[in-house]
Amino acid sequence: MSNGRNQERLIVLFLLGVLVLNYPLLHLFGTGSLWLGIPVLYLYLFICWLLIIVFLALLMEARRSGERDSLRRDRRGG
Amino acid sequence: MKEIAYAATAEVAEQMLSGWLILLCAFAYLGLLFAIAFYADMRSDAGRSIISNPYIYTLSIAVYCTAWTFYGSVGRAAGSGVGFLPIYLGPTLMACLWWFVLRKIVRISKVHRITSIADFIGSRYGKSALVGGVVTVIAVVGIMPYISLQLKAIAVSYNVLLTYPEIADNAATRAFYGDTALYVALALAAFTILFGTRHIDTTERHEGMVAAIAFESLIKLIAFLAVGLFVVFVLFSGPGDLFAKAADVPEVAGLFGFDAMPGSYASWLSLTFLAMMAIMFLPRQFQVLVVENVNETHIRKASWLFPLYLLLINLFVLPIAIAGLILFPQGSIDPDTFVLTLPMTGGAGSLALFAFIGGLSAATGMVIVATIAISTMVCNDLVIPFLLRMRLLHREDMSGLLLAIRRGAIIAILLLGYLYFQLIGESYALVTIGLVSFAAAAQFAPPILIGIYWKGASRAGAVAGLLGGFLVWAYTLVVPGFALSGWLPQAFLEQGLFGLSWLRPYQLLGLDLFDPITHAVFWSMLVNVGLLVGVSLFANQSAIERIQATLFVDVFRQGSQTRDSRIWESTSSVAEIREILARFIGAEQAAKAFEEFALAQGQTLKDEAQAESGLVEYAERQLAGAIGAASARVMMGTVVKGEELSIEEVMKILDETSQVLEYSRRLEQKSQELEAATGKLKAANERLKELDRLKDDFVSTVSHELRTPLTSIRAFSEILRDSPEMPTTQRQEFLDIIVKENERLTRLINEVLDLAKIESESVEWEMQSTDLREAIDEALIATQQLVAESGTELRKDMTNEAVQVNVDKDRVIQVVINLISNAVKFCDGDRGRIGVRVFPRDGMANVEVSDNGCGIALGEQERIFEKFHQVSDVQDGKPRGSGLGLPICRKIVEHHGGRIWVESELEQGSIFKFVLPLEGHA
Repeated sequence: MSNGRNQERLIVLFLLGVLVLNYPLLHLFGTGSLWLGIPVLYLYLFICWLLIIVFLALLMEARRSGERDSLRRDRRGG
Repeated sequence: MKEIAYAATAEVAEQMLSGWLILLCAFAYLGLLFAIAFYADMRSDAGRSIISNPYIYTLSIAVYCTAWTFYGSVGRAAGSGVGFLPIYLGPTLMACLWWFVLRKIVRISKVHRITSIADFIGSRYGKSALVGGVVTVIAVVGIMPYISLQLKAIAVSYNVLLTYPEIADNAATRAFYGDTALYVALALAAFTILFGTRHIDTTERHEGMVAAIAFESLIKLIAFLAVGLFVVFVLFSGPGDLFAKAADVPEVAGLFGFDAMPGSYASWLSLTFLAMMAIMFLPRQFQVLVVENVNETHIRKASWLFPLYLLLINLFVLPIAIAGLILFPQGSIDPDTFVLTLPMTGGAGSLALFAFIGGLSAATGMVIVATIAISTMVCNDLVIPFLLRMRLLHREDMSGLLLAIRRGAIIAILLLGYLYFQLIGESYALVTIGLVSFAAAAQFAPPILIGIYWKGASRAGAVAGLLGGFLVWAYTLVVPGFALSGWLPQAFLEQGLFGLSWLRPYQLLGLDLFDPITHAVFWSMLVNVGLLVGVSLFANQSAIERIQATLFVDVFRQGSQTRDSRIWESTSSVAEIREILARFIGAEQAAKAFEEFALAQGQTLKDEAQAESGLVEYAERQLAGAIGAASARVMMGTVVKGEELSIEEVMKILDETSQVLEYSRRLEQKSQELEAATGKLKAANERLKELDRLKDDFVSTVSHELRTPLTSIRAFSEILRDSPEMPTTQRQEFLDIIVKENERLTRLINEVLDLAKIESESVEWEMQSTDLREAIDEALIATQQLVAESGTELRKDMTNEAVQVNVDKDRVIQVVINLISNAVKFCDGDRGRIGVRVFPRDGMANVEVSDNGCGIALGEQERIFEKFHQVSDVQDGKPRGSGLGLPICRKIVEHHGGRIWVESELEQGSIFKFVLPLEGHA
């Protein structure tokens, strides 16, 4: 996986995060109703938050293993 | 609700926590921290760092979560539902960009030995002491509310705990607040001094401190989670139960929706933005993220682990807030203390104590890092430049002075925090106080973020932007605080300065859309960015500004080797430079630094030698580690006595370093190409010269050969013309000669043309499968007349089998005819014997034409195949052939992949032999 692509993915993740955690999408969940006994707004915010962290972890660690691969290739080549 | 609380407290009355027990726990905890720090420092000195891993790095970043998070989030949640969350969502979003932005800042700071955020900004804008000083002032003033917040939190939590099991409200404890907070401030000052200013280090890194705050981050997380679990699963039977009960209370159920958030979406967005900036640019965050960073690859793991930490520590904020609102009657307990009072309500005194320790962790972690960071800035960017300019620094050992300045700064900062707490603290909740500081830290964002991506950002722009933003911040957030606390008339808020309504601090220019924080962020950022960009577009940058701008923006393009930017032309000696360094960091450290430099450069440093610019620059960087870049520059400038290089020279050096490699690589490539081309040209030239020579030879020979028959034709023709009375017989004889010479001339011309054609390879060869015997028979028939006329005897000896070759038949016949007519020419009339043999051998067709003529001398045998070489007749000296027959034969035979040569002895005759590859053997 190329470094440049992953950088683009990080920036898109950032923009997506700004989008889902703000007006107007936030407004859809701000009604104060409950779902499974828990306020929908709380659920929505914490799940979005968790998803951002998961994707961030995937991108960061995927890049690392990619780098390791290329390092290994280099070593084999050299 | 009230009944529950009092019933619970009555049950555990015998577990009362006495003041000395709380103090004992607190000091034992601080002692433990100190032991951890001491151990980490020891390991660091031994070269086995315990903080050099991404997990400690992540935990140290969590110094972001202060007492504000620990106590204030719950208070904020109790008032606004999810309103506390942007403060933690912002850093999560920012973490997505850390890999670009933070890594760049860390790289720059490592290269330039940056020691603080003021140092960073000052260094970016031409190592400017003015910029560094402005940043320091903003940081000190801006951080004051934040430190007071921590003091307030510790004091309040201590007092709440002290009155346990009675749950104290604010009014009851207010009386001895002041003293507690003062003691807290003094204790923290002493602790920070012990922690952070034990010695001056050229890297300005504090491994012990990092280890201690990482431990604190762990403690506060565990404490908060413990309280959360206790509240949700012990006081209530799970989140479902909690929210169900909350739904029954209308004012609590109101927190479930977004409507509880004051300022609504605009405030949400501005708080997210503030938190994004604060996580990077609060002085203490800059300290742990950048200055204390050991390895920039740690950013990778930290950028998702840190948001995870934030998520965990915020998981139970809303449940605790809601539980507090359900259990305590409205207004009886300050929501900021729910984290302590809820465990107390449940009778868990030790949990309350643990929560107190957690809150203490959060507060002390922040105070320690913030005061160390700020004291470094005050010392390096405010006091030292001032002393340098006043020329007050002439003592031998500066390191003691540096430490004293820093210790003084730490005490001053904490006391200022206490003062702010006393003046303003009462009128704001924890979170609001914190946000005031966030808005101040956000002022550093434009000069840094714009500065590391835009080379054009200038010193004048940075100063204008910082000052403008700071003034707007102070006017819209700090001054109203004084008004709210009664130190200024209330009317100031409602009617504006001097009664001018457009100067109302919460509605500047009549803008009344936002809450105070959003309002202040909007105006201060507008002014800050606007002035930075606007002034930079019209300001002229000095040489050093342009150099620093280039070094910062292009940091990833420079290898570590190209750092040698040689900005000083020095006239000082090595010993002098070492002395300066020794004054600030101690003689031992200075000697060590010089040894390292000598080792790295592979040269020995002689004391009396003139210090080269590389050494001066190295010393300046070492000094920057101790007193900041701007001070180091001024210091060096006063001592080095050198000339600053002009911008052209410096830019030239920078350009050279980045371009020299590229140029030399290209040059090498070009010269190789040229060499190859030259070689080819030389070869072509040689070939041309050779051809030219051959042409000259050829022309002269041909013209000679042509002239001979022409001369004789002309001579005989003139005789015939001038002697009309010549007898008929003689006339006939002369005419015969003319005809003969004509024939010879024609033959010669034909042969020349033929040879030229063969040599220029414009002949079309008609290759076909041929029996060589047939070709030779045809040649014999063609020469029959010639042979018969000369009276020579010709014998042929041919094999019975077919000798198949793939040749141009006519050309081969031409060769044989040539050889036979040559043989006839050199034979002696009637006694002549000519033999023609054809036989195959070793895959080759062999043809021999032998004669018993005069033979050819050994030295001549090869030369007769050269053009125009003629064997002169010994008797009459007249040539007998054109000299082209044999060269043509050789060309033809060689074209067919064969070989022609002669074997001969003088007076014994000669044998001309040629071989051609048999068909299927070619």
